[in-house]
Amino acid sequence: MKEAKRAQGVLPGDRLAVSEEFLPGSHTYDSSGLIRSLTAGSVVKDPKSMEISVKPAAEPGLFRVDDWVTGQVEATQANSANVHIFFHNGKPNHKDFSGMLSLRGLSGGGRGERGARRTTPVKSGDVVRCRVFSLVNGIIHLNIDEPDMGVVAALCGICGKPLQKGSATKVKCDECGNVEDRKLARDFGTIPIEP
Amino acid sequence: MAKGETKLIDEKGNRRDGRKWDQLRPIKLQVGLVKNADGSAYIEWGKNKIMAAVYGPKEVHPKHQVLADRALLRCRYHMAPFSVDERKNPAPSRREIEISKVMREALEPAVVVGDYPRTAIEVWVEVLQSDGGSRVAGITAASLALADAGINMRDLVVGCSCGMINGQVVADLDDTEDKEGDGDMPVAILPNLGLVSLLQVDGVYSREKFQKAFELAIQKGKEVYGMQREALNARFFGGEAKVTQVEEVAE
Repeated sequence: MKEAKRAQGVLPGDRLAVSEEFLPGSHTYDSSGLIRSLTAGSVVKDPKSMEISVKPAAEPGLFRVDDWVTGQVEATQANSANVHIFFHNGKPNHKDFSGMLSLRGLSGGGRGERGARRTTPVKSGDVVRCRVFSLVNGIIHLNIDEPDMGVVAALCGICGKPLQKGSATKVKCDECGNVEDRKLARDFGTIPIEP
Repeated sequence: MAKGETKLIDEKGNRRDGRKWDQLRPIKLQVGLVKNADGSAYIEWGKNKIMAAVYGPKEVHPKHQVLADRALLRCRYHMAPFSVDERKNPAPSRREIEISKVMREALEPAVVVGDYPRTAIEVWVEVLQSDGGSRVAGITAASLALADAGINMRDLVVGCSCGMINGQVVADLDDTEDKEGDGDMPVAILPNLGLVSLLQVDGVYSREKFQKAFELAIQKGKEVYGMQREALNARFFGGEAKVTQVEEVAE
């Protein structure tokens, strides 16, 4: 087969090559020695790796490692929290996905640290910005280790008013004077929330 | 008049609507009409008017239905109360539940569910106007909606029904032919892979008639597949870039 001269539109099931010519790349599969497309898109051939793949014309917007998400903490445990995702890379996401936020190394009181002072990097109801660091077993694993990641808005656990930034790890309530611990994002408090 | 006694085809081989025995009704396909869905398609197949929409991959609710290694494919075939002559109760009927099931089983061999673990892919098929053969029309539209959503698929799925009227094998039965005829046979295929993902048979067929009807359904299904390609071509490539097999372009 000669090298294609122009971008070619292909649809699911279309024959792209035989497996002696190319290796199946992304959005392709090998079916009895024939490489076929898995999606509608344009064909991309890499002459170095001898890989043929399809650049999709439409993608279902799945999560990838290094994406960032914003969501609300639904439940917390000693070393993890459940985050309901509302924004994916800054765009609204209404697919009801939840991620598992790792708090290991942030919360204290983990394994081997029995008796250490327990801090609370996130609490239920906080709005957090997180990085996707793994998708192992189909679970969206999140972390907030970077300065830009962490709690971006929170409400007071006592009176329910928005908390204000105190120090690097403290937030305080101007209404009732309550002070709480958090792992704050650099821009904490700049997102307006109504109580 | 008892079933099978109505004259549905004349001596010249013309059917009530003027079609020949092997002719399809007019088909119109459009992709990407529902803005809020991840993928959608609309089909007019004779007097059938059917909308299909795909949502997902999305989180599975209830959580106990999560499949750790693949997506959960959900299909819902539903007829609008105004889709038939007499108002239909909007609650899912036994027939709709059955068609939802066979539709899922027809689509599942094409969808690469293993690429989307712990998620749900929902396919909603709404029959706005019904005139026989709505399950194959629904499968055809649902397959386009899945492709529109960018879901990985081994092949498109295309459906076509054949059957028997007055003892003669015919293609694409309408509602009257379905009710008054001797039987129908909806078939769904994955045309590039040469696989059959749906085969239902209603009526009594001789071995020869069965073979003829089955082959006719596949042949007509491939015709519909060409229309599916045109619809996706118009959606993704503006109808300008001719969608062709790579080998043909290269040579």
